[in-house]
Amino acid sequence: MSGKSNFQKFREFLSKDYRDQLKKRDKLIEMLRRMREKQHELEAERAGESHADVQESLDMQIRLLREQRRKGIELLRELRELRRQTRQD
Amino acid sequence: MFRNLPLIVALALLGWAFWSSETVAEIASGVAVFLFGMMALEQGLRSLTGGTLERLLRLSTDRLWKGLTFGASATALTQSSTLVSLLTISFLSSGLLGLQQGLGVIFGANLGTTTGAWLMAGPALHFNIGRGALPILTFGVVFILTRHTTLRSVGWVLVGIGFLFLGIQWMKDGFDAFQQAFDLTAWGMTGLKGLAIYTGIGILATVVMQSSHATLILTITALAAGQISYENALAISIGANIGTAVSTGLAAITANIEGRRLAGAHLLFNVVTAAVALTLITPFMLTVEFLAGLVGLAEDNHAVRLAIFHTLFNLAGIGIMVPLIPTMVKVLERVFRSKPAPASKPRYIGDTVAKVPGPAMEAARKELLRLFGRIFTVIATSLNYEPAQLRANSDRRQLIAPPERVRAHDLDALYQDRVKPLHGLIVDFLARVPVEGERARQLVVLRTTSQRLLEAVKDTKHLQKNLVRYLRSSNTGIRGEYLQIRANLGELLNRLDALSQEPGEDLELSLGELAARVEGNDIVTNGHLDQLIRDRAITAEQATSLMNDSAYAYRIANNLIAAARAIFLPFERMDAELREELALESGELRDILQSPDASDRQHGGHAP
Repeated sequence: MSGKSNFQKFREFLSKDYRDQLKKRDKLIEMLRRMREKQHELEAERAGESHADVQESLDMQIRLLREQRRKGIELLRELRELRRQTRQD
Repeated sequence: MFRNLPLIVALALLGWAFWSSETVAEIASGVAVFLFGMMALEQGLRSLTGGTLERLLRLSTDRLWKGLTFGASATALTQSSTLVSLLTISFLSSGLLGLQQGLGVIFGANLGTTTGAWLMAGPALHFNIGRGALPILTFGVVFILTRHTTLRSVGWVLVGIGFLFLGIQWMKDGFDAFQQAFDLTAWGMTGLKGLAIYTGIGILATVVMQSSHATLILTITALAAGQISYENALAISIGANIGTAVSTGLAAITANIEGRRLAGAHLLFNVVTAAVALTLITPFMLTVEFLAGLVGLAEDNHAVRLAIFHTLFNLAGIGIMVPLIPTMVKVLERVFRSKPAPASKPRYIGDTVAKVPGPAMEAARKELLRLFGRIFTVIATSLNYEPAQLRANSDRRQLIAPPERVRAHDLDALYQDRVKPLHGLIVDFLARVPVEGERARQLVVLRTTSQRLLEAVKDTKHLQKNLVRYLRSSNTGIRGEYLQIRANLGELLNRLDALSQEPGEDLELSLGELAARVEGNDIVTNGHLDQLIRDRAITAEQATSLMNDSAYAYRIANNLIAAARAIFLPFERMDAELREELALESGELRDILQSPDASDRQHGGHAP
């Protein structure tokens, strides 16, 4: 039992906004997954790098990715909250 | 006046027929209601299944058989080859589908239309479908009055089906009454003459009614009422096939090159198929009889025999034409050549593609990429770089080298000639795309992007005034600063151009790095301007100019990066709206640059 009534499911099916939110959430999750993988990749590369200039460039990329991921996670939270509100309305 | 003469004659004839005979009026009303039903059904299905059909078509682009299957099943499901053709032309125009795959879809759609004859010859003739029409219509109208988009679309579909049923019933009733008053079989013809004349009637009826389905249902009901002979009905069905292609061809006169190629292929397919059917009509009829015997079809059931014949000769057409598709593609590309689009003409956007949201968005994105290319040229020229060289050269030392000759270019003329007309067309196109929900938000992103690109050109115009002046200056301090601004923008343009060709998987990261570089190079915030003033390397007046121009360069760079974020990747691969939401703001970038472990990050730019 998911706790969702059939009426609720039907309403969600009819709501384009709700379907759009789900689609956006899925895309964001996929995007965050790829960013995390890239960050791990760069961190591994950074650990084995001895050249200072390259280290610096990798550091910058890692910091950028961290910040972008932080924003993404915040956005994901907002989307979750918005969906909860849509359901209550 | 003379252009409208055929319409006036047709209306006069119709008026006379209505006045002189009630049964003719009933048949004509049946056809009109049937056609209206087709329109309502198409409208409903377009909004109900538009997204699904688009997604399915995207999945059918890699193999010919998939295209054929999609064309046949989508047309059978929607009973509208017009809808499938429109979708295919839109996909072709936006480059989401190749001509070869497009031909597969159109050939499949031809087979799909034959299911219409089956539906009409089967259930439609044997049940009193008119009785079911009114409740369906009532439910349909109730659904149309609701607020939900999906239910409204379902409503249009129901109204369409209701009117189709009603139209068929009226035609049946009309022919039943007609049978008692007139005998049309007296006009029946046999032999070659009959084939030729009735094929012509099929073509004419389909072109006039703009629907092969309407011609077929009229033929099937007349055949069931015994008003025309079986052989003449077969000839009409062949004519109906050619008539559809003629209608598509007429509509494609105003379409873009892809639309014309597809219409050409459609016409060729139907003419060849019709020629084969007319030449081999006797073997086809014998095959129909053989198949009818296999399933134990009644001797007088000519309507189903007609449906079998219709399917058989279209299948034969596919069998003949599919192996010829690669040759057809070559011929069509030679006959309908795409000329290089002039500065004021768009390459991807147009009236046809504007009707289907997915391909329309992709076409607009590609057109914006084209605009980006032009803006690259305009900005590079104004910075006194040779655009082709700037595209190929990413070496900072060469970018910072002073130009051999400093020229002030007429940016207004370049803007009016290369940017403004295309920008106007894109804005006009975006206003006509029917979108809602997520796609509406994506459309806003595209519109904002076109504006950003325009602003980048306007800021370049302001920047150029002092850039030219100080690049010619003998004061090495100020000259060096403007060479830095020029090189920073040149480097950015070079990098963005490379990313526009190959965005890669990490576009967001690459753009983030570029944005961080722009932030670090901003001499107003990184303290370099203050240092120049303190060192008296430049005068107060020069400092003001430098401050303003640095702000212009900063805006140009940020607008170009934001545009790149929105248009360098198709929407399907990554959502532009999401990319915009995740983009780091200038304050966030500065925090990263000022974090304790961040040392000097300026890439050849100004030291803070």
